[in-house]
Amino acid sequence: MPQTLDLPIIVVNVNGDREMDPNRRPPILRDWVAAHVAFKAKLIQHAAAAIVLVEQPGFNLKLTGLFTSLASALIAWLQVKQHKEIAQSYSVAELELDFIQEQAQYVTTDRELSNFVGDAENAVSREHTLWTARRDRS
Amino acid sequence: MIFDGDTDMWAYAYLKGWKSNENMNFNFYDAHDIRPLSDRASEETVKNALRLRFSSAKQVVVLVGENTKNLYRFVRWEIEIAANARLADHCRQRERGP
Repeated sequence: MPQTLDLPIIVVNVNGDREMDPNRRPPILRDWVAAHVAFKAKLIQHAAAAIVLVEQPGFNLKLTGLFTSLASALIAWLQVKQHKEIAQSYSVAELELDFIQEQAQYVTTDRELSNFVGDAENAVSREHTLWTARRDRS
Repeated sequence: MIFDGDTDMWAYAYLKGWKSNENMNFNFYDAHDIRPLSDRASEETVKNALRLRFSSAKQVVVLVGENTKNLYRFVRWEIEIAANARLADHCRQRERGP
């Protein structure tokens, strides 16, 4: 029966992986909460410093609040990003429709009118398809 | 510092190199300096020396390389010594609840 001690563990992947490597990790560390870092001096030093901080008596970090805030920030960022995509897409559609509108003055035959209407419908249809795809994704 | 001395000695040497490099802000307490072991030391002698090293350690660094997971006699034993108490403590805390 081995003598046991109470020591935090830093797992350093010498192959450079930043995350836990399930193929190389010793089985005993499977259920063990440890800091897994890549083989970089700064990362090892930061992990050691973080552990020293967490191991201080009275240190009681409420991670639930931290992760909730991070999740909210991520959702907000994604929505802002999506808003930018939509704005760019509408700008492109507007330019395309302006260009098609310019062509209206050159329509003289039924064939040209048919093509003109077809182009306009296609431009709107493309934008509508993109909008539908984005709505399904979000 | 727990590692595969046959395959990953280079990584340990790197750490020692970083430590001795004045231009790098890297430092660690190397328990390997305590009671150095010869290659001919018996298993019990090695484990006694390792226990002594652990008794002065505050953290354990495991260098995980290609073959580390296959080493049971010393590497696994060392991790067990460091980990078991905390696992038991973690289980006790879970049983007690928040």
